[in-house]
Amino acid sequence: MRATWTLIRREVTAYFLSPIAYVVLAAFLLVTGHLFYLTMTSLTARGPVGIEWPMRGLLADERFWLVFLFIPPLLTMRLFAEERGSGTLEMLLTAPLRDGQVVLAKFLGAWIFYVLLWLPTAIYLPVLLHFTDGRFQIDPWPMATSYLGLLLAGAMFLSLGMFISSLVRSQMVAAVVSLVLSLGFVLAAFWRPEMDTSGLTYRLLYFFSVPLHFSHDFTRGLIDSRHVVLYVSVTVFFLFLTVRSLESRRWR
Amino acid sequence: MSSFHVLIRILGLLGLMAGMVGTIILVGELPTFDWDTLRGAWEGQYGNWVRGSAYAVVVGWGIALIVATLDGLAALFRAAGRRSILGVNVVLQVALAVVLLVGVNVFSFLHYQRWDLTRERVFTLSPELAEQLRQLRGETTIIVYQLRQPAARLTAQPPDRYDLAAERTVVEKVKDLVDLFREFGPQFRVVVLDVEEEGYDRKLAELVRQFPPLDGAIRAAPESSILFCSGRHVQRMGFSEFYRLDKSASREANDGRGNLVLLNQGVETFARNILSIEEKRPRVAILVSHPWLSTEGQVEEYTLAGLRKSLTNHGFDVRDILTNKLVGRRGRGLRLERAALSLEESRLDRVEAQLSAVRLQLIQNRAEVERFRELLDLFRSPLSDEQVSDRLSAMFGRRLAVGPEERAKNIRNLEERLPEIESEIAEKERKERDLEAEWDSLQAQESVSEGQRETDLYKKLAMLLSDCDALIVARMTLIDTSIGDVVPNSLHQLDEQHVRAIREFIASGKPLMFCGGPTNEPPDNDFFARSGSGPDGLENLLSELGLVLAPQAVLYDAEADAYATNQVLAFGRGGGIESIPALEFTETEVPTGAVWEGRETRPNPLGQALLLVQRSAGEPIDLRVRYPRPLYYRPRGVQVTTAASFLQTIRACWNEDNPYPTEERPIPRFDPPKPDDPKRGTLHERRRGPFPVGVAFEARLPASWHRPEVGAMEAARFVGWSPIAPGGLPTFFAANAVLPADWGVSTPQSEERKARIVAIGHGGWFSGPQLSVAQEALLIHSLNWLLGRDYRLPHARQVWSFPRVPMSERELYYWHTGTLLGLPVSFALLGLAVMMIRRTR
Repeated sequence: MRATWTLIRREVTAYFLSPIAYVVLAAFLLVTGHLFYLTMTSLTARGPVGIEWPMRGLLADERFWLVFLFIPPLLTMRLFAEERGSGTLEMLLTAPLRDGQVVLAKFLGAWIFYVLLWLPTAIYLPVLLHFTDGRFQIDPWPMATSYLGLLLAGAMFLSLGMFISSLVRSQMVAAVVSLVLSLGFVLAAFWRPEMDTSGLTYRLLYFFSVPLHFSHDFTRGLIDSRHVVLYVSVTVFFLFLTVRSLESRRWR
Repeated sequence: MSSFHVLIRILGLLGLMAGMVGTIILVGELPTFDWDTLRGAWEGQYGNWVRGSAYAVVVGWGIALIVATLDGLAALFRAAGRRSILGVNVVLQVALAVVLLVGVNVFSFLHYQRWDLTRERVFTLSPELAEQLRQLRGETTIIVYQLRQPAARLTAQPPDRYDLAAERTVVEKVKDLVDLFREFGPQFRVVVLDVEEEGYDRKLAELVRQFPPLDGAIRAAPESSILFCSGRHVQRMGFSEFYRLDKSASREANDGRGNLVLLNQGVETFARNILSIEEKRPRVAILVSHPWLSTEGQVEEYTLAGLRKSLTNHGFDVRDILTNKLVGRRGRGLRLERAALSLEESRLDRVEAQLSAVRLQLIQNRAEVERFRELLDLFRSPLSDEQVSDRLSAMFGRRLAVGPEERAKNIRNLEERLPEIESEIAEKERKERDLEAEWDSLQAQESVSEGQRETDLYKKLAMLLSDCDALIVARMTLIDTSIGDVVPNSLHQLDEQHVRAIREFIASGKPLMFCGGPTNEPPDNDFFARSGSGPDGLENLLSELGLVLAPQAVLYDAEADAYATNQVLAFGRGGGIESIPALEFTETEVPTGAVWEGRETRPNPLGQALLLVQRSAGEPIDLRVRYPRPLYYRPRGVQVTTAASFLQTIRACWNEDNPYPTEERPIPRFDPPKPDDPKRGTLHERRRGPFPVGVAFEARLPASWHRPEVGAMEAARFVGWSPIAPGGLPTFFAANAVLPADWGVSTPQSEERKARIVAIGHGGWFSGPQLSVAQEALLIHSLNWLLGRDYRLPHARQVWSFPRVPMSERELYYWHTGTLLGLPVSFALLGLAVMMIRRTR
């Protein structure tokens, strides 16, 4: 266990010692800052305009998801591809760690950084929750469910990116391939959004479309077991595949 | 890698390319993207270009999938082949993992749970309602019909940004709610019908094929609506019945900065529409005294056609009942007989009369044709002129002489006239056939044939009212007093039998809406003096329930000014409706004098609802009538705990005993009462406004109405106490001997019966071919209250608005700048610092 923690610490430290993390952080906060600016404008507007669910202003916007799509690939591209390219993967695999522990440690390292990426957005909460007179004037539960959804969805995308990274040598290829595969969970939401919501086609699209999960459910204080099961099962699946991918190296 | 392998991979890539291109083309060309349209594309319904694309999609993606699968399997087996047992084990594990992943998610897709964590459980239905919905059998289709135009206006102002914002928001709320209903399973099918959507006509045609009444419901929908369809039943609910805009509050919100304030009317109305979709539509009987005053009257000023239209559009069935029947003429006037006729029966009488007239005309026309033919034969005959003259003289009974010229002329005239008459006969025969068909169709109606058999007035009216859920009595009286344009009271007078049937109707707990104008008639007028005036049996009946109908009409100061002007300009006509101030809604009791002597009461629920409707409009609603009649609710021996008034006049008016101009007083004006006026200090004292002209109350019915023994006892007691009645004292002792011991104690609460009454002091309130939106709102909300459908009345129990965060401009600036620039720049600088530190180490 100690070795796993050491590896996790190493991974997290590696992020902060890498310029890409700060680039990702800055770009991410720029986009979320802009969306927060728009949300705040709606919350302080004059006349019959406004936003009922403030987190929707942040997380249901297409601009957010188009930027978000890049983050997991950028965070995971180096996890195995870089090690393979630099030749340190064999050293890692021969360490007194099981493959599962290595995968878990790398995954958790990426995930912890992903969580830290979202931490600065806590600065938006005083406005988004509007705490006065000993009470949150705006319902706080949608914030909680939104963050829960983000953590789980992020885990899913990270596990996908990590698996791709375990298959290829080039970080760029890893990033691009995981970006393209992640599109499958995002693009459907922006395709024919005015489709009749009673049909099976829409229900299937809705099942896979992460932005729709947020715009319909998480940002409005709803937790749907379908989304949670999807995120957790896909995460576990890709982690499993990553372990198998690592194991397959031993046969070669 | 072998060249065959390369070739296969290239084939796979080409297939992928073809599939993607085909998909892009299909997305652009097809109106919708579902299995039906895809099948249609494959079959060539959209042209060869689209068909080719469909083939490319299927073949291309198919090849790509096959190649990818084969390649993947080959790679797997290649890897597995190196360590065969381990490799096979891995392949199996991966396959199992895929199966598990798919299986878990399929199960999750079909069996899922949603948790509503919002503070107010916004997305959760009450358990009772959820249980009721779950038990529904049969499919209910909910159609969200988006008209894409703001609802019909309650005022003359055009829709503003508040109306448009409300419409947009309510559409989202409706979609959320129908999604919620979808959670209950396949018995709820939801369809969104957007007039601006591509394929709207096709979708509508398909739905109308399934639900034929839907076509009429959609045509009649004045606003975006939710339609509930099951079998042959369709119910409509406007968006505003779900969320109602409170425009006044929206403008005033956030210290005048504005917001969007909607009044959530609750899910209950929505759910009840579903649960009661197959229930019988409530039937409203409308009692009028003349066909012109009915819903099929042809004269615009008098007809209640608008009333029927509004009621039908809002899910009510309508039955007109006429209380008079035309039986002949008296001098220059008509002779009427008391009756109880449905419109169909009245129509039957009319058809019978028309049929008789047509048949008489046919007999006459045929006789005329016979005669003309006889004459033609005579004129054409070889007889001499003298012989023809003799024959003509015998036919017509006077000496006639015709020469050759006259014979020829007569032949020509007769030959011209005969075809004309024959054509008239053909036309009349056609009319006769149509009338006979109409007569047969009316006779075939059970209600008509039963009604014809019943001659007893009371039984007839009771039968017509028996399957009605509410009764409206409309009595138009004063129209323009300046020229004596008045409908006489005698026309509206009801027979005792009528009143008895109405009493029993109310005693059964059914509600009544009484729209009765003032009964003041022109003084010194023989016609009105002869025909009789004053309160009739119905007004006396209502007074037993506590309704006081003032024997006065309200005149406005503004109207008097208009009178004065028009005396000079318009030959003595009074002012038009535009000179009349609008009435006002109220929820509290209207004071009846300078000193308020009433008690504090709960607000009138109908008044509250109408005030909310007014707030939706953001300004006073324009409802105005001439000569309203003051009404009061003063039940004897009952403490009134809820205000009865819901409609009142403004202050600048007075109650007038004689609203007609006279020689001494050509222009009406308010004269304070004299000190010796007998009405001074009473309810009918001449005074300034405001006056209540609309009351709604739940009356406790007198025990004698529903307990006949009580009525008999009261009668016996009265006789017994009466000094002049025969057998007075013995009757008194006899009555007391059979009286129960607790006689004189009020009726136990468990046996008390109540009925809801709405009274409006004007009979022409709902007249006209079309009701305004404001009139319709008053009508429908009144009826909903009368029928006990209080859940349909607008209320302000749940208020929704956009969340607002109060912030000064300075705070806003720092938040904006800090989050938009401050945070990203901070972390960018942090990164730079870290990189610089790393470089130095």
